Amino acid sequence: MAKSQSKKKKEDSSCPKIGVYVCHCGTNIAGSVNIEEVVNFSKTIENVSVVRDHMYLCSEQGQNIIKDDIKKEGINRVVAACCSPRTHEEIFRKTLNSTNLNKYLYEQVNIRDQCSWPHFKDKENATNKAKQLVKSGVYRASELEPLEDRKLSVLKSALVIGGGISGINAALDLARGGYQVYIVERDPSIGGKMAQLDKTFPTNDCSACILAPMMVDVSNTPNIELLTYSEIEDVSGHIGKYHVVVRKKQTSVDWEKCNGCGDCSIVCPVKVDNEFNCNMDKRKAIYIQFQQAIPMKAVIDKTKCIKCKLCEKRCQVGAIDISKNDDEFVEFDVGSIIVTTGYDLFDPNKKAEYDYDHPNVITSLELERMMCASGPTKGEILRPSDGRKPHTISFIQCVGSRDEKTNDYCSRICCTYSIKHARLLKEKYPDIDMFIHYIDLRCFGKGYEEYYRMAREKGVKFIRGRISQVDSIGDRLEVSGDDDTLGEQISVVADLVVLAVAMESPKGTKKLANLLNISTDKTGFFKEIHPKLKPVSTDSDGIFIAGACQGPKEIPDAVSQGKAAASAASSLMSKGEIEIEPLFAQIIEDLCARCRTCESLCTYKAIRYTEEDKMEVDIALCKGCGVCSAACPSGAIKANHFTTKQVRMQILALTGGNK
Amino acid sequence: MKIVLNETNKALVNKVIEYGGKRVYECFQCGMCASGCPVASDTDHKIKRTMHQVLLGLDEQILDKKAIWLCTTCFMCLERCPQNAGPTDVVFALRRISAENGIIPEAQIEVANNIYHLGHAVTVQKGITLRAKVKAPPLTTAGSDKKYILEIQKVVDSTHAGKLLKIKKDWKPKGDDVIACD
Repeated sequence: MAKSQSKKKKEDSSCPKIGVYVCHCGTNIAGSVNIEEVVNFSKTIENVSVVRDHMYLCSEQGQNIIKDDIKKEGINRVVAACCSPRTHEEIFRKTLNSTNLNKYLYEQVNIRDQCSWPHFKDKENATNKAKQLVKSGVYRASELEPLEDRKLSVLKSALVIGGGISGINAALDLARGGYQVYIVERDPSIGGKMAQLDKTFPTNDCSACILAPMMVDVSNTPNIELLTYSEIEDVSGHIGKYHVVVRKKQTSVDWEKCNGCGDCSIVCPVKVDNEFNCNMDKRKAIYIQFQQAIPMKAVIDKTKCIKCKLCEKRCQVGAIDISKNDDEFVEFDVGSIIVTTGYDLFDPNKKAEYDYDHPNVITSLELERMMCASGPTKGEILRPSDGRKPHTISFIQCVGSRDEKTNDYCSRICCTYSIKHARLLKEKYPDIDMFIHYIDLRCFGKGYEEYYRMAREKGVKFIRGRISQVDSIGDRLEVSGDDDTLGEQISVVADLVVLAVAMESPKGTKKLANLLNISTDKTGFFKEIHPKLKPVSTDSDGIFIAGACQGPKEIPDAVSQGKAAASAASSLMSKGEIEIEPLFAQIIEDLCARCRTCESLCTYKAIRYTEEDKMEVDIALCKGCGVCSAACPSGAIKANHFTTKQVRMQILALTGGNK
Repeated sequence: MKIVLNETNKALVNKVIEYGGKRVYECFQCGMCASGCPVASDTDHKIKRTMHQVLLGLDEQILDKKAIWLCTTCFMCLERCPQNAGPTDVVFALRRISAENGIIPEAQIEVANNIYHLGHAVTVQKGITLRAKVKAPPLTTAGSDKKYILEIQKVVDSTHAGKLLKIKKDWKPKGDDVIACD
């Protein structure tokens, strides 16, 4: 290996012999760029020795042409004029590698995404632009230098942020694969939103019945460390070794001793709104979050506790000490991070027309809690105003979704869950009239169409058209809107109105994004690198996202993503080391004046001043963005693969200046 | 006009199902029925809307407008409906319900009486005269012989169709037609 590398270097130091390969990409490029003209032009550029075109350059045949030219024609630089390096650079680099030509002696010119596609109406100028881009690529290629990948060791442990269904699946898969996993959950118990659901579509499984065994599995898996009632305080480091600081909120209960008997809650005199039941009933200041909680441990709500100490006296195992106030901090290192922070629900108060203040106007999650046997009404559907059974229920869809004034996206799950509610209620109470007011029914998943049909067969009525307003009439509600099919205004006199509220990115997403150096998109959810091909990867290597924190999702998709993220993290960690591109900054010490301008500018905190009076680049953190290199007043920072010379040559080619 | 839905009328949909529109609940308002309907563009017969009205129990809207009687029963909607909701079956059921409520257009009454008394939905006297004039063989249809007509009348009299369709014993056909074989 070492021998061949030194041989490679010798070849590279000789005069550049560049091969230019122009791809038709079917008609994607050839449809608006005159390939023949680009080929003929390329032959006239300095240092170019071979020019060829191909219908699909990324095909095996196309790659073999390049290989042959490297071997037989002796070309030592490759320029491909084709599509985006984001998707195809890797293929070409591998081809170069297989011929012993250093893979960084490859330059990709994108004459599709920013050339043939946008300029499809102007063939002449598209062709001219393609020529210029190829020229700049060739100029840059003549200055490319061979580089070697760096190896980085990776810890075989992972952090999962958020203990909902997505996080639980990710954690279990990783733990089964032998990795050490830490789950950090904000609430006292794991389970997330799914723990609040009664039944789940499209099979009507009882949510608790399918979730609880997985939660128990988490607590029984020795290599999963569960940190509930905890939040991420700080994350530093890089792929392979992230240093994590977790704030464990003070519970005032010693969980080693607490046996989850619940006696403390019984004696506690303080009643507060129960968030788990959507504030429809009360819990105590010391409480266990819900009946299947994992861990089944009590927590004191410090903001509500009156310090009467009744619980302390009652606890038979002496687990409670209300004088404990300070949060604890736990620190550990992990090789990768999976973010599964889930979602929050849209606040229906923002849609004043739906009169959420009225007790009989509720959200779908509130209805879900009512339908649940362990909920505030023990599974009975009652009007909150007077506890009477409703005659008519109206479901209003897209509350806070598909609406430029709130969230312009579709929340994806509301159609099917409203159908679920109406259907389950119709089975239990056939005499209640159910109306679903929708604008489009999007029941897209496997088995969902059948689910929708069964709701129709049970007599649930579907009315297309937005609801404009909900008004009180006597002790009932008038739901006014449009019926698209009738072409008339309608009003339904209902006893209960259920708002299908949108899914939104959870509180704290922005803060966590900043901490982890990952992006969010315009909807506020975490952003994946590529919506189709890299759905769980983020722009920080080694940090993955899964579930509803990436965008609205139902349980099957959230689980799939949790498992996908576990797989991605596992393939990253399994070897214990990874190769990283050498695209980082290098300090030329002799030129460096230690002004530390670079240190203050680096977004990734990759450059620091050391005790030995040196500037040091952490190559694992450095993204090779080049900000430091551009800002260095003495030109002491070289950005690998984007050196000043390489960039200057590109500019020269484009501006027609002299070398 | 604003339509108020209060305690929906389930009687209509139940009756439609009883009278043969068994799959009316399957309708999800895709509009396939209405898009191919040969009479929709020129009449008030909007089958997609009618299906929806049945589900919402808006019987007055359907029955008062009498549009269901304009359906040609070509069965195109029934053939094409992706949910097999049977729109034509629903129309038949609605016509029966409508007739039971005494709501039946004059033209339908005339057709029914024509069949009952002449054996034909439309009168054919002019044709019979013309055929005789050109020495063509005489008609051999239900209306050509009294015995066939008597059989038709027997069938109608044995059901309550005669009452529903307002069959009159002393009915006289319009125009120059005469009761066959009299």
